[in-house]
Amino acid sequence: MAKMIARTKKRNEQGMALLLSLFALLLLSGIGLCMVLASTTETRIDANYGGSLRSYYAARSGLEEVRDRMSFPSTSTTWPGGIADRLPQDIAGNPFGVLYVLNPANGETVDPSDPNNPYFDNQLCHDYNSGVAGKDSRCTVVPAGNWTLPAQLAAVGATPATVPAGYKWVRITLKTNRIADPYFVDGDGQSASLDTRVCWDGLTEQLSPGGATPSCDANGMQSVYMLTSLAASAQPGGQNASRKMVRFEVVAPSIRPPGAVTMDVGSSISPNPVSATFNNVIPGISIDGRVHGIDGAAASAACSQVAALAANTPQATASLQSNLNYLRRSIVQAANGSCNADGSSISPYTCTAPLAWVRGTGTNPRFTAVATASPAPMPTPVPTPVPVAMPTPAPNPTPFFGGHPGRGSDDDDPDPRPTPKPTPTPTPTPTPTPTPTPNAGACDTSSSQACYTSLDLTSTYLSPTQLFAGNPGNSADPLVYQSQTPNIVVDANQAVLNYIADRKASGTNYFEVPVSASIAETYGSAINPAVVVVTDTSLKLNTSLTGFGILVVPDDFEIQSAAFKWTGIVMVRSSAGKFMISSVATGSINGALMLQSGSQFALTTNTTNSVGAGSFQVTYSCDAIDAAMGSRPLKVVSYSETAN
Amino acid sequence: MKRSSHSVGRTPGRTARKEISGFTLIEMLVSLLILATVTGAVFEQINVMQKKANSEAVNVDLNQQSRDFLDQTVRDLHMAGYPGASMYSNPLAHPEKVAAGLVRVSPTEILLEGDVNNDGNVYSVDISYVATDPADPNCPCVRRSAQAKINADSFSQPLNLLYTETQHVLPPDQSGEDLFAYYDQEGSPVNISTGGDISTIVGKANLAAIKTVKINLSLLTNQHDPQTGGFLRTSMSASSRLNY
Repeated sequence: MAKMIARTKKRNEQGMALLLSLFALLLLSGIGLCMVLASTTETRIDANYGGSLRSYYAARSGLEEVRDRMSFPSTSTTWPGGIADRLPQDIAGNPFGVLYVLNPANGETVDPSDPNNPYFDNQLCHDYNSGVAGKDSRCTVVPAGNWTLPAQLAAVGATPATVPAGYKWVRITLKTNRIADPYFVDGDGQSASLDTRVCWDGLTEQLSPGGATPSCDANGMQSVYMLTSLAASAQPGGQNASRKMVRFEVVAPSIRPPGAVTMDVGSSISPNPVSATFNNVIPGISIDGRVHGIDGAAASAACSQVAALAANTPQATASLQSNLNYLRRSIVQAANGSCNADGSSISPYTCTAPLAWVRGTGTNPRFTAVATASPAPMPTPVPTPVPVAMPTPAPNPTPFFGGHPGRGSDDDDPDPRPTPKPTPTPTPTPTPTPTPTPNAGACDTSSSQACYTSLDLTSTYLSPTQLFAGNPGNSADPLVYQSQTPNIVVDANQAVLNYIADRKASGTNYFEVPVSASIAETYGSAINPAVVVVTDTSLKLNTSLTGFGILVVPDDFEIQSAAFKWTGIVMVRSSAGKFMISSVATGSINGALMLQSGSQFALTTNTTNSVGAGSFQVTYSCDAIDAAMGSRPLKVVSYSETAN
Repeated sequence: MKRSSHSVGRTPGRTARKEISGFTLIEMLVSLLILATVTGAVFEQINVMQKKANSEAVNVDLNQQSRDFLDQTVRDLHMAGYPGASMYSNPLAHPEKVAAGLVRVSPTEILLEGDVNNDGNVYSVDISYVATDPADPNCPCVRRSAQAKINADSFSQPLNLLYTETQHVLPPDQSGEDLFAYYDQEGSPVNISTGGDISTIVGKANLAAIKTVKINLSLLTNQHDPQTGGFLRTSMSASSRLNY
């Protein structure tokens, strides 16, 4: 028995080695496990950090790709992936107000409009009037109806695609004040509907004035696009561990003036608000705010048409309206003095077809230019300018219709400038007089004839090329657009000046002309637009000049006996100068004419009452403006990250 | 192990005891020696591992601090300048909603404005190196404070006494790299010695030229690395492109 016990004890002692071994193994295993855990945690932290970075840069890459593609139309051969002509034309929530650029991986379905898709756009509902409250909440709904444009695919295939971009989609929408929440463009979001479009005037964002033409480029500004990009990086386990949603606000780098001819009269209390002087009857010009191509031909809707004339202050607008009425009165007087009802001429003058049309076939002429003793109301109210002194008028290079025997009843008025009414006494001297009011020259309301202010200056009966054409303005005179705020025009001017300063700094195709007489005959091309800055006091052009780009004249710019053809922007910077087209000048400005503070706009193309030959045209072309200022890359106004 | 027998001619009881007699002294000594050696080795390794584990914990803490600091600073810089003045039709009417972006920069400080919390408020964020603080033994350190912007003047925002702190920062003059370095569009360093804040024209131009900020952070503890014997240290850097 004892032996058995001893044997048993002996066997038990033999197990110690096993126990010791197990203990050692357990200890080492524990240490190893701790090390593995620590290592795994570190790896996961690093992977998470890396995934976050990958997502961030993938989302950024999507924004950059789309920003670049927005600079080109889909028809461009330069960049086959262009989408400039496929962008939303309306705000999100409205039909076709959203465009997605999708970037699915192989075999992956990316559908931001499907709430069941892992890449559903769960932030869109905050960008339109969905009724969903709380910007931090995740959306579960999408707009009703056809709210998206046909999706575009990422242009990864157009580039070396060794590593496909990791973003999933980029959404393009027009920015509205709702999207800006809580950083409303107007500060508090109270001045207009939250769904008011946000525009870019060249320096800052502005709210669109809305109305029948809410698009930004019809109101002298660029559209602001909101780009939203979603990226999700896959973890080793296949899960989407890191999502990033980042946003750009982008705008085109060029400008959209509100008129083919845009006038800046400085401040609203400018002592010199005169911005236009029409010194003739039926000028041989055409100011056309409709959209033209870079070649000057009428083009399809690359942008919205604008008004023929635009101004930045009520005073400038009133001055323009008054001067347009002055032109109307001159034409009516010429027609009534030159034409009989049957179209025959009143000797010694020639009744031309346009004048006969103005005269009409009735016993009495269609229009009367008889002034009334008291101001007659305008068709619609306009801001009344503060009476200020007129500057001493510059000498007219051509006589104004003076001494015409066929003039109407007030042909004894020797003053060619619009004289404020009711002031029946002729102003005999060009000394400072009160500023013309919009209702200057109003008609006798007792007359059965239509007032000359009703003469349609856009009629092709007056001129086949139309004296004025374009989007109806927003002022009493439909030819004139009054900018929403003065600084929209001022900022657009400044944007051009900033661009010129950049070009000067870079020296790229930049020319300064210290002696205007030595200006070259040609500057720039469509591929290499020039910036030409005349530093002489004025430019009186007697030789032909053709150019592409931006031409800046510091003071008077007179196109005299010359052919002038410029594609792009012509800017006249002056405190008291003027832009003047003489009677023998020919040519065109295709793009925009921008007159800065104090500049007069004097049209003196014809000295007789004959039909204008349409020898000079100012046509609006956003393509020409873009080419002159550059259309790419789009400028990033702001960047932000959103919770997702 | 071979066992020796010394039980011949003994009583049965003693014989039985002899049959189960133990190891010789030498055997025991040898066994104890081996066991002590093995145990010593094991515990030595355990000790080393414990020290290493402790140092790793400190390392992890250092890394985590560094990551936190870099992440936060990069996020701050990404949002600097949002929302900018150009996003308002009249920015002067709501100066507290306009982020100036970089306000003051130096090799050891960045003062910026932006909606860094993405909560609809503009914050004035100050990230600065503190060489010494008698009340804080963890300095040299880097402190970050954020205060909702109230005043139009970017330099006169209320002081926020609350801050987060990255501790045990190796002074830049010892690490060999500035805490913050600034680069322009082409990647060339921006010389901010002529002006490092927006109160002057030169300073404003210098800050406008900054497109990328590089952050260099080195942390140094008073704990030794069991392997190298030196103090535990970690260095990290990150670059952030400004978005305004």
